[in-house]
Amino acid sequence: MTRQQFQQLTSQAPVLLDGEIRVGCNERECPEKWVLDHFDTITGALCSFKDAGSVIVRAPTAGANRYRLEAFGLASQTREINRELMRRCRAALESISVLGVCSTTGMNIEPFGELGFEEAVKSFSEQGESLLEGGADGFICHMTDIQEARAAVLALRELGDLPVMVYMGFGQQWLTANGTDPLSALVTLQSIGADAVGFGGTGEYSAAEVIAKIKPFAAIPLFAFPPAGAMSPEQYANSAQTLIHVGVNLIGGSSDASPEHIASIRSRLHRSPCCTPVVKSISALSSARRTVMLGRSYPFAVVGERINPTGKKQLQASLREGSLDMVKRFAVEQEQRKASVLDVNMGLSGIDEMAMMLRSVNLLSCLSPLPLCIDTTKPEVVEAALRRYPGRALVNSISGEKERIERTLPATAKYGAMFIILPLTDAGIPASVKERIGVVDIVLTAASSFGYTVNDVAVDGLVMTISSDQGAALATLDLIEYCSQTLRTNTIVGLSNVSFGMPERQWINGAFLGMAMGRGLTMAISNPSSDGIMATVQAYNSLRSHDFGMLMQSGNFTGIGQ
Amino acid sequence: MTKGLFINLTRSKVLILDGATGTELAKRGMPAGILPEAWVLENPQMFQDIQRAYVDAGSDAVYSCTFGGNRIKLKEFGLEQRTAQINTKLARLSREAAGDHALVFGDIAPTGMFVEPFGELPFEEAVAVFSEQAKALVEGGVDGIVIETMMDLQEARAALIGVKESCDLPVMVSMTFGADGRTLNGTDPLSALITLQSLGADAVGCNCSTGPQDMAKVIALMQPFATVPLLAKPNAGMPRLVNGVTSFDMSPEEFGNHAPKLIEAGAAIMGGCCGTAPAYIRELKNKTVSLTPVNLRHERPAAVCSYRETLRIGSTIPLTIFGGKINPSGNPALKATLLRLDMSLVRKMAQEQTRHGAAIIDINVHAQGVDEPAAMRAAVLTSAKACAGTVAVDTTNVEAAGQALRVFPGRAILNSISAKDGAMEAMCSVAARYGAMIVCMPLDKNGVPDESAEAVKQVEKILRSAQEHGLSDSDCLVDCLVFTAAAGSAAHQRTLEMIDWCAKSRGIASLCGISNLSYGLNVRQWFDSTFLCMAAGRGLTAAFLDTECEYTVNFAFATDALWGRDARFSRYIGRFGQRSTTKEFSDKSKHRTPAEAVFDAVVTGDEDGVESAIKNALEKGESPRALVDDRLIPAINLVGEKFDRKEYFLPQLITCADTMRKGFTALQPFLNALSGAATGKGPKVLLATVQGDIHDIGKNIVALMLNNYNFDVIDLGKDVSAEDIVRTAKTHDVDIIGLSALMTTTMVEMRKVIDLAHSKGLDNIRFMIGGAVVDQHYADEIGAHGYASDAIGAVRLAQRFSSKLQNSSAETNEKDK
Repeated sequence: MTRQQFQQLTSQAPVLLDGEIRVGCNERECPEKWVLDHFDTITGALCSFKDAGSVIVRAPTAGANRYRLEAFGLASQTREINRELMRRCRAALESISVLGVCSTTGMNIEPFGELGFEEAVKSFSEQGESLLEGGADGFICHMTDIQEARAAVLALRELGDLPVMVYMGFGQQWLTANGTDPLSALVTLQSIGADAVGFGGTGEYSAAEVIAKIKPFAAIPLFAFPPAGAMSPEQYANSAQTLIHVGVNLIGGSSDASPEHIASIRSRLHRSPCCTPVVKSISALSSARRTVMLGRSYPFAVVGERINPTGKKQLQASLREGSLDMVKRFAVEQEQRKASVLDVNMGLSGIDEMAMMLRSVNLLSCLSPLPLCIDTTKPEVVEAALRRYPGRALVNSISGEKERIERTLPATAKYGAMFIILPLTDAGIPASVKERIGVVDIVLTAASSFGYTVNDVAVDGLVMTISSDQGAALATLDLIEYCSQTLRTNTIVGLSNVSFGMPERQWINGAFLGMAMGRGLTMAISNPSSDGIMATVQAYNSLRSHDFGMLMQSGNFTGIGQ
Repeated sequence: MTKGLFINLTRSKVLILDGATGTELAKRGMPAGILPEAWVLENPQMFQDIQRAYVDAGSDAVYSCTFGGNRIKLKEFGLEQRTAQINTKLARLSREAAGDHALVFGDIAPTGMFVEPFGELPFEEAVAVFSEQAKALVEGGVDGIVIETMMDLQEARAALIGVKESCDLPVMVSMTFGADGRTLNGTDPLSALITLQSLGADAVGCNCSTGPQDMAKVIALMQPFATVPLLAKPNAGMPRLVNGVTSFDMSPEEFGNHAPKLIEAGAAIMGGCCGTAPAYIRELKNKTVSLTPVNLRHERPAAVCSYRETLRIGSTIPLTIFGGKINPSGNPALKATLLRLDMSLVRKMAQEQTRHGAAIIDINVHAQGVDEPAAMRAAVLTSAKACAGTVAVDTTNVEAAGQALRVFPGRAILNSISAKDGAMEAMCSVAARYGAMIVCMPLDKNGVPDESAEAVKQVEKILRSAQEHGLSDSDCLVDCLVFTAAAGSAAHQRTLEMIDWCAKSRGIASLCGISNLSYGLNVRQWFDSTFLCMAAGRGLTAAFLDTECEYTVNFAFATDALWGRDARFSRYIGRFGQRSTTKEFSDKSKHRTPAEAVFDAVVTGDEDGVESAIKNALEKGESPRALVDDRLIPAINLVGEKFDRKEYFLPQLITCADTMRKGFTALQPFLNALSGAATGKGPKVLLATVQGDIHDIGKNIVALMLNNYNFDVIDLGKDVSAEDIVRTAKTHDVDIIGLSALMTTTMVEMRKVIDLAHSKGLDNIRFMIGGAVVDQHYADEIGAHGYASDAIGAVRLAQRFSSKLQNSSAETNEKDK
């Protein structure tokens, strides 16, 4: 099955998945090995799901990665176990689609744990390759951690044009152990190329409520394996119907669902709606613990600019010593000051930018809930940082310069990151707004060939200093208006250039921010320590929303000194 | 004569008036110290001879001999009971004398008293005095009225209103300005013009005052804003006391020779005042007969004024700040004073708002029990006297609006006119009668529209009505409806859309009541300033601000700087720079020597004046070399120090450097002549932004500054390879190489350049580097001789290097010996 075929399948009607096969081995035995040795005992179960109407069935290979097999001394048989299990399933099920199942290594993955990210990727590659040899039609990953899920998707994505589904099992309150929520998981996984995302979890909200909430942000099909519990097949079908109504595109059963339960869902499918994804892409960034929605319908986003050694002697010195203490402090302070995103720039003479960027990304992924903005001119640093980052980051920036388009853009696209378009070229910064728009168009066109849309970018208004050109701010405002109103992209500006050389620069910076907001600006790169800037941001957010009651009661609504 | 006929007359040719009458009468035996009006009535033939002589000399119009013919003047001679009779008779005399050959303008002149609010003569009494005189003059058959030699704008207004309410004849108003360019009580020519043409004068101008040269300056100030023909009736030069008699120093021919310049400056109606005689008028006629007056603008300028200050309103002009504190709603103290027509609090509030930056003081006196017309009139007069700003008469009461606009000594704003039938027409009519600007408020009997499209329709309706009353878009501001912040995002969106419509579709001034937004909230500064900036970003032209809140006003200044409507950032820097530069120098400027004036020109950044200052100094015998060494260079050094002290900022630094450059260029030919050869430029500096880097703003500023400090600059631009830099350096034998880079990825190129230069044996070149990512540390690391953090730092560094170069070459010379 190709990815395209998978998309078609899910766009026509809800797709019925299978239930889980019970394995009769004891705890000391390796389940996958046991199944392989007693394959006849599960053939019936497999076929009963097929008979109940399942269109896609999972092979029992979940635990067959190198690290889990190791526990039973079977690491060396990894490839064989996977290949053979898949081959047998394939043979038993004949024409219907069979997916290879990958699951956790049982270890925490870098940056959250001890297993190196590339080791994890390698292990999933190994398992994926052997499943493919056995005839898998695609893959489904059962995961409980976002970084491990990312490692699996990146590994499996590279094996060919096959669908990769990811099922995220959440714990209490719909959070993973590392704190990932369903929306952030969706944003992260769909950006790196998962073909469908599934959700299961417990908490105050039902699965249907959670799916209803995140459906508007899904660019890919959603799926679920609702638990049957004590429900009759009839009741079970009702609950499945509810899920389909709120947006689930593929549905199967969890371990307690029998073929009868599955069949009962099937009997209703002809009456079910088909809620295909409503968006192609979304303007959103994520970390492992938070999603930041961008755009005019959402709060204005401040990208905290402080983690950047340019012009900061102390930070330079501490980075030269190899210390990230100040990076840590700046991250915490900027979060307290209500930055939405953290810019990370490690460009400094005399340090290894690549190494320091990766150390910073690791540190900040664990430390801060704010999504990161990877700020570097080096394509290889962009690639390495994005690969490692357990979320959907923002890349700062891609211009019309040859190297950016030819190298940075593909590296960014590979991980589906959002990026900032800087409207300049190898020839410099175009003087007229029209020419700058021309550069934006060139970058957007190049990006669209990677599947990017206007939602995935933020255009930098490219503020020049008014000291040397009194018309500089107006040009930027016109560009922002065009991008916001006509192109409908996000727009972003840096807030310190504009006032260069002027006295009392904070007024110019703050006023420029407000004027740009008036033209539709959605983001700014700024120092959130500035009271003026953050008060303007909060006032703007309040003016655009309706929650005035709270605002008026609170009096000092920013929490910032008057 | 109808007004239309008058306008046509002045459009096609220069209308020639008469010359002096008083001096001519004296020549014919009128004793000094008596009332000319009475003497003329007794000697009509003498007077008519003079008038005929003027008509023969070429006058198209003569003035009646009624300069002192108002009731108050006549009273000094006990003749007030005969006012009407005297004026009518005198008008008839002129009418007879002029016959079919010339027009007669009935002459109205000052009462000799200051008019309310500046003096004791009540405004309506002044109107009545002038009205009486005008009616009598009309009775005598005049073709038009001229109000002349006015020294008080308010008296001129009273006269103009009196005349307009008495007849439909054309009225010319001419003011007298002193040597400082202002009338006796401080009105400048532009404010006089704007006030009087808005109020319905058919010509505005200047008489007496000065000779023709200085009067051309006054006319030139008025011309760009004039919608009516301008009148100039200068004296015959400057007065001199000869044997106890005042005489004027200009010959008829000289007087005539100045006429074309006055026409060029914008005069369309010309005559002579003190010291002129028929011979002067003949010359005037000869010199102007082939000339056509300059064309007038059709729309009145969007501008208001008090009696001493004009304020333009528009997208290219700094945001017009309205202060809206004078409003009794929610202010019981103010209400209490208004109830007893006590204006002390109004005065205080007007002054405070002016001090905090309000250009227009909005006055609203509406409250239960307050006599609104009386209170409004009193408040407007109080504010007019207390502060330089204009008022906005904030009322829906037609009577109050009329009373207030009638007495305000300037051009006020009527705030506001809604789309309610009946009220709309009545208010438009009042505004048109007194020439006020208006605020159009999209509101009708159904209230305020929710959608901007509907609001725009209502504004269009008001504008149509305004047009029917003779007002045009340039007389109007549109209220873009700002309500409390809690009104929700749709309401704010509506406001922004209306500003768009004003700025982009209609091209009309927009006004926002920004201070409404957070009225009563304790977080108002943030809402106000944020929404103000958003609105300014869409092109807002005027706003009500809480001027007490410095925070918001600071933002207003910043938006102007960003919008490019604060020329050279003078307002911004004036507010925030440590010291205002113009102040420091203007005080002393009167007593400066020509050479010191050259110094001042550079320090104040007087780009337009430096060349003439140098010319002047050279004419006074200053040496060109000394002007460079003792004036230009110390001046630019002082600018550098001021920049260091944060007294000056980048815009000034650049302007001053440009001025220095202009001055130096002007001196160059003289310096060359002295040395007999081209004076060598200073040391050679090669500048480049290194390969891979296209950020060159900083480098460009450095190039500009080095040039202005007389370095010989070779600017290779941006993204320049090490090879190119070193090759050029070798070919041109440069002394210094300045390298710039903004990115960490490109700063490494600097080292390449330096290494390459050394490998090519260029060991005497000094390297300096700059750019956001580099520092002294890096300069040391790569073997550069210095690092500069800004343009002035780069200049200092280059100066230090070049003095070292000279020293070392001097040492070499020593050794050679």
